[in-house]
Amino acid sequence: MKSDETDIDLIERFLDGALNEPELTDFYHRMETDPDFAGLVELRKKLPDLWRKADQYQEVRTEVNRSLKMPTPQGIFQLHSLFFSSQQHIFHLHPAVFAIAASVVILFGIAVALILGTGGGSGRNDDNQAIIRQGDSMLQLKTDRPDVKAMLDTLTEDSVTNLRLLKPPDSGKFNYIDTNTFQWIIVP
Amino acid sequence: MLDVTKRTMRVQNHAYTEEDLVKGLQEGSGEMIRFIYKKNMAAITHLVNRFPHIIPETEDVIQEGMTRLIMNIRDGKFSGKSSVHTYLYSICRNICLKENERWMRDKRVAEEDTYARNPLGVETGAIEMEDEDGYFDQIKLVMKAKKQIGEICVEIIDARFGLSDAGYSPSLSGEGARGRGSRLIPFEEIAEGLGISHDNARQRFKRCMDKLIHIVQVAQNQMT
Repeated sequence: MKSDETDIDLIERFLDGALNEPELTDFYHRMETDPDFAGLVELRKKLPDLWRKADQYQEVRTEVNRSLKMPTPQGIFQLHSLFFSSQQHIFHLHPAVFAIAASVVILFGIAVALILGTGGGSGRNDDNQAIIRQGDSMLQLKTDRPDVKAMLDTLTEDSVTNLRLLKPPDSGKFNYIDTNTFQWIIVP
Repeated sequence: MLDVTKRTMRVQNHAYTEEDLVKGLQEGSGEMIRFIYKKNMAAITHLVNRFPHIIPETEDVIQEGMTRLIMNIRDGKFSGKSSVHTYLYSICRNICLKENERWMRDKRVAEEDTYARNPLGVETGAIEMEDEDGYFDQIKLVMKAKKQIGEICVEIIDARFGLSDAGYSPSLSGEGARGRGSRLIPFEEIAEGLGISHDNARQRFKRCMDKLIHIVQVAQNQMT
């Protein structure tokens, strides 16, 4: 491939602006008459961009795969904040550190709940609640991981003594990614 | 009689605007990547299922599509004329059509087999081709070639393309930093940066470029 090597050298000198007048004339003439040479020049011109983009592609592809395939503790938390869009948290901790910290907090929470007898054994987690406000009333929905369940929890209007969730059905699962219409009746 | 109050409320679990999505993808937000993936998974699965002959699985198509979407957004190629979701669908459709074309070429599918040739039943010329000239195929070819040519070649090519510090003399470091990757570095600078002679730098680059171009051209020929 001696001729190709020479061509590559010639193209490099062309790109550096180092060809003299006769060489330049010959270069353009070959571009017009030799499709292989013209193709080589075009490819060489594109290479710096493709070379850079190859690294970028690799990085983005890894980013996508990591986001979709690895349910890191950080990832789980981000899914949580996706559901509770009003609570946006950004953590810059290493996932392992975050996992250890989360485990300690969860164990501590369970221990406290068991000691106080406030229903810690039922899996309730105060962080795991969506709060929906309308007017003066407040409805809290409990969610249980990994499924999101619509469960009626509390209502802060003293006058209301009974409340029934119609949609989604009480304890019914729903997709946190979708827009959900909650419907309930209040019986004063 | 009970006084029953019926209330309805629409809860937006994900109040993401188009701007949020674009910004999130620009910044590499895992949350946005997962959100867009889940939002579009069903539609793209349906799309891929209409191409029974293409090799990539739905998962591969959508991951490739997401990668192209993010790169196009970061390169400013996404104009925002369509929604992010529509754009992703369009990218995935193009990936499927291209794979289908490859399958037809390999299998020499008959002209009259119109369903196999165009399972979507659309005028392919009318489809907005975000990757018309096979730009992403070329990027992937170069990515593979880069792994084959060896570290020494990557080093000298990086230097020539202005992607490493080797090609910058101290006096040009400011300009180099600004124009990083956007200009060719003269062999004199590369030689100085790598501590080799000018001729050595030129020869090494020529050999490596020859290898790279050869690998890319062979792969291109296999694809066409």
